[in-house]
Amino acid sequence: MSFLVRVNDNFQNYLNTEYESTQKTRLFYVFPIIKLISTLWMIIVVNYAMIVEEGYVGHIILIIILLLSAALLKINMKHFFKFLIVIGIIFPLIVAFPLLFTKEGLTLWSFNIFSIKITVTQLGFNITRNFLFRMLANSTITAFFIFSTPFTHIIHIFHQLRFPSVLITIITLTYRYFFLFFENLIKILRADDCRRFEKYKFKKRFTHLGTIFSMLLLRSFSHGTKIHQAMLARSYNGDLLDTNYKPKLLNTIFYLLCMILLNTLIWIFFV
Amino acid sequence: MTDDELQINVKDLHFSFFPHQEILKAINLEVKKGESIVILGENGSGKSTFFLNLLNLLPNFSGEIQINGKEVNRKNEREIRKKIGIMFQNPNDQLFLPTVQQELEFGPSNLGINGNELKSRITQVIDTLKIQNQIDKKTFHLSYGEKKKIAFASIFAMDPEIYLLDEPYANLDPQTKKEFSEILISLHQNNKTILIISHDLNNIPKFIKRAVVIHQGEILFDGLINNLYNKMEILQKANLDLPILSMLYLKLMDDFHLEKILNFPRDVDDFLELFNKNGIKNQE
Repeated sequence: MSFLVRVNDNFQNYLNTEYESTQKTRLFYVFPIIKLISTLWMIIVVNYAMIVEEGYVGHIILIIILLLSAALLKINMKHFFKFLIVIGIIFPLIVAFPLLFTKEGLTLWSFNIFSIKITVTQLGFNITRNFLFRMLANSTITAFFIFSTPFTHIIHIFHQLRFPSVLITIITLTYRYFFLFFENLIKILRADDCRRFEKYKFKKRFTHLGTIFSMLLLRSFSHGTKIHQAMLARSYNGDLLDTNYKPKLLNTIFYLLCMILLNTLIWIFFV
Repeated sequence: MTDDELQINVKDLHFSFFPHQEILKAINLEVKKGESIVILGENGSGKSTFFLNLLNLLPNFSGEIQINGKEVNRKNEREIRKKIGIMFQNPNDQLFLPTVQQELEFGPSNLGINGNELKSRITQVIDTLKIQNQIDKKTFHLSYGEKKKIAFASIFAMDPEIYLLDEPYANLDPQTKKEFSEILISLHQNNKTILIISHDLNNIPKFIKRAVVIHQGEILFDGLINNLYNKMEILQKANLDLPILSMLYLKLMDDFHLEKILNFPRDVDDFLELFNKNGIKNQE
């Protein structure tokens, strides 16, 4: 419960400060669509070009360059590192862990668990290492984009790219919905705690959790619907861009030159 | 009443979320421009659903709703929503942007207002509603009462012709209630149409003369509030209580044999005036 409260507080805190912290970055006035295109281009480079055996060296250098750039461009490094730790390290580690043991080849290390022999091979190690660094590089590129671009600008890009309005609404609501989901979960669990005076047995606990989660989905859905109605009532047309925002051409040109330089260097040295 | 004078015209409105469970049954209502109405009814009587239907926010109602002579349908719902400002009962269902400033700018910018015009409008809203202290706060850090104020400010900034306010006085402290009443009076004086939902007759601003009582999706009463106070059977059926001052006057009428009245007191001044007039007579 306290863990959930902490996650919710952190997320709400992020939502609350998201616009202001992106506003402080030097990339705020770069055309959002240019930022998105350059981000997608770098992701393509990392995933389809830097796939040589020693590609991870390139990934590490790219991550370092991006981290230094992020610090220089005044991107909120606290948010940046939190994102990298969860999305760039913990999740890929969970996914990549089995890869260590499932490849054949030169044995690096082996041990027995009861009668099962577990082996880490050279190939398994290399694949896992490359996968982890590639994921970390992808996450760094994504973080570089999302922590320099407010959510409203991202939605505006989708609008400009003529994404279906239903899809844009779903994305907007999902983003705003996330905290509703947590808020409702906390409220339900708190209400449950107040009226439950003894620990449930194993089977009953599962039935009870099932009921709680189905109620959670229903409540969050109903809450989300009401918020959407309130948005429509205030003439919401799918776009959330603040009307005072005007991107600057000079900032965009400078950003583009830096990106071209970085991509050329990557191409020359690592592809 | 000619069709030109009508701002809201509802004819034979039916609505149900599920088949055979009608929430609204044959609602007919005519509201003139600049008129103020209170919609009364117990919880679950269909008052809020009625409001949502006026903006076509719920799918598939049957019957006809006209706003300013234009039929409400999917084609022109956006045009119609520009003229109506709705404040939900629970501000948590309404506010969704991180900062109060963004929340206030959301509606007007959707109406195409921007630049200096937007700035001056927001400044005007802040000054009128006295929300200078809240403007720099995060929406999620506001108290419930403050959220209600900001929810109202967010529609006030759109300057709609029609205000639909769902339980605007619920959970407000006395000072905020008073301030809110003053704002509503000024809106009324500016010829805005105001529809308020309530289930508490104590909290109805005095400038509102007309009441509509909805019970189980049907209109039980549509007329002057003073006439409603004399219809105890309707109040009982709709699970409504007389305002506390009117109840007190009724009690005094019985105990002190005061003169029977048709206009029940709606505030302390009314009460004192009636009591002094009839009480003194009684002493004489």
